[in-house]
Amino acid sequence: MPGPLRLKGQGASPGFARGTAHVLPHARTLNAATAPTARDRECLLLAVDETVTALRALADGSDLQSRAILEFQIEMLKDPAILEPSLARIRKGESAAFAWASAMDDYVRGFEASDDELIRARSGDMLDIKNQVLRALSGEAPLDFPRGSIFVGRDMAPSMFLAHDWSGGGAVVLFDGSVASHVAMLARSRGIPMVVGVGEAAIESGRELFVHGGEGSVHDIDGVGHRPADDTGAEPSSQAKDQPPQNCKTADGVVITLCANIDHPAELEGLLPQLFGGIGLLRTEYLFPTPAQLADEVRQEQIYRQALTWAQGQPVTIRLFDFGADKPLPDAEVDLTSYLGLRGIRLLLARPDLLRTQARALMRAAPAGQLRVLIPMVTSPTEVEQTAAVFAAEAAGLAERRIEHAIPPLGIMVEVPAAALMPEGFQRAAFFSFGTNDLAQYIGASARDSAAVSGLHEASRVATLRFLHHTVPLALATQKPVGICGDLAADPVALPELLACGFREFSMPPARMPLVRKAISGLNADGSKARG
Amino acid sequence: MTGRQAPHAGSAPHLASPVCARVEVTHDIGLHARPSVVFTRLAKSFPCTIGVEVNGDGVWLNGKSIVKIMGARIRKGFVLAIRADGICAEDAVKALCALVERNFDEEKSHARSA
Repeated sequence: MPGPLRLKGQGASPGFARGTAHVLPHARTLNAATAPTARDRECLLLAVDETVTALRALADGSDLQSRAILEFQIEMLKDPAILEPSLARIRKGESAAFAWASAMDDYVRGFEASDDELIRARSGDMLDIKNQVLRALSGEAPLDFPRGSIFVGRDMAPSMFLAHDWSGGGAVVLFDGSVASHVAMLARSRGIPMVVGVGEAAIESGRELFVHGGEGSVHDIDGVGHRPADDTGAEPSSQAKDQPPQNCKTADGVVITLCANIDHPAELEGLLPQLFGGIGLLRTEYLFPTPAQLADEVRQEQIYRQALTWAQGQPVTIRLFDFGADKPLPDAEVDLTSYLGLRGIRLLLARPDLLRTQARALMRAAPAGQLRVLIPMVTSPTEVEQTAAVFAAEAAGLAERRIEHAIPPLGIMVEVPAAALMPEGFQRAAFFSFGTNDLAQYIGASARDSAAVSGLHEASRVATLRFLHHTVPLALATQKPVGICGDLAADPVALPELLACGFREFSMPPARMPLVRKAISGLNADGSKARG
Repeated sequence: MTGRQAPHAGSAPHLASPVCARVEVTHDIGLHARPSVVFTRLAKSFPCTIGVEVNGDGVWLNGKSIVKIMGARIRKGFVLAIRADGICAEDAVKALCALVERNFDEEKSHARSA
């Protein structure tokens, strides 16, 4: 029987939780013996088989007319010819999901282009077949843990955090990790207590734990007989319901726009759009945890549309997939963990299949509201031009297929110092959004997921504020909208400096908004403290 | 009305030699979804290989592939050549031509569902 447990790490998200430990088993080894293409081929054949079986069961219980439609789909799926283009794509190195989605899109386009009404009508069946197989491809049971338990592990995938039902409480304890990681941001925005960097600890599942997110400590119940007295930090969840509507003003009357940072439109439930100046950042990389979902244009469109509908005409800024570094691409077979390598738009331009699907989904959702699209990790104007060209090409394709769509304005994340210093070069960019989390780690040359260099983050922070003083005015001089969406935007201590830099648009987790609103009302627009 | 010609079957019925016949599509709509299902299912019930050529264009489609048959956009008035090679080739050609002549049993099916 192990002795009392007392662990100390960094508090990544305040709050207090008590629950049963659930220790994540060791990660399974991916990319086992089979070569990638062989595995993809097998997965696709299996997914097709599963879909046929499901359709067969459905057909058996259907009336004659429905059965005829299902039989058509079954026959199409059972025909080896339908797989030929997909298998050819897999041989060329595409993943199963993208090979299937692209090949089926070609069929759909072929059907839609027909001058025969009846053939055109069959394109719906092809889309249906496409999506059913995609769902079957993503069918593996997601990793999850019991409701209300304390998650313990080396690190936690943001998608796992998002897939979990937190309504029963619980907390996160990580051996490694950093307070600035994405999963930590998620924990803060949802009010889930989290402690990181406790070091390798021998905790077994089933142990009862206390987690104090504010002070970064973890005890078992035998270790402390009492609940810590100062249960501070908790409860950021009391919503802004009794806050005055509309956006806030500084003490000297300058309007400041406060927008929401979210990872899933589900976070918007229960929030009044009138309290926000729209959505300043909807991250998309956690929305589709499997390659099949990434390839599913219709599913993407529905989720984007949800956010646009919620906003009731206010701007909704959706960021293109920002994979790479600490956010692994679901179907990646190469190492993309470098913060300085292939990530953000660099990765999307290297993987145009991803970008094209997302561009189409965004443009199809765009008529539902005021959509703006944000490009992550931009370094050079060429990247914006190439992205715009992809949107234009996909828009032409949608127009040809007579699908309703709109081309949104494209803005850039300012998170690479090179881009921050040269904003006037980005003629194709419609707006700028400063991403201070990455900017700070690049200025400090200290990776934000590395606990070993976390001591340098404070130094980077101070230098970042000075950097912003130099570069925000350059961006403002272009006369284009300029905002900030990093963690810094939600930090009341940094607000005076950020106002002084010239920021007037701040985007943050909804739970942080009351605090920021209050802080801004006590400041003048130049960042000085208001009198009285 | 029918554009069917007599199958020129080989003299020895058990010697597997190719059999070919032509038939005109009289179904109002042509080979859309349901007729394609019925046609390819019947084709698949024979062990021989089955090819379909549309309007003598020289391209032989796999008669057992609904993807290929649907893809050919076969409509009313098109003339199909149906060719079978292997065991039961003659039966296959006869049955498939008859199916086209019967308009893929469409009316019967409607009558049943009514």
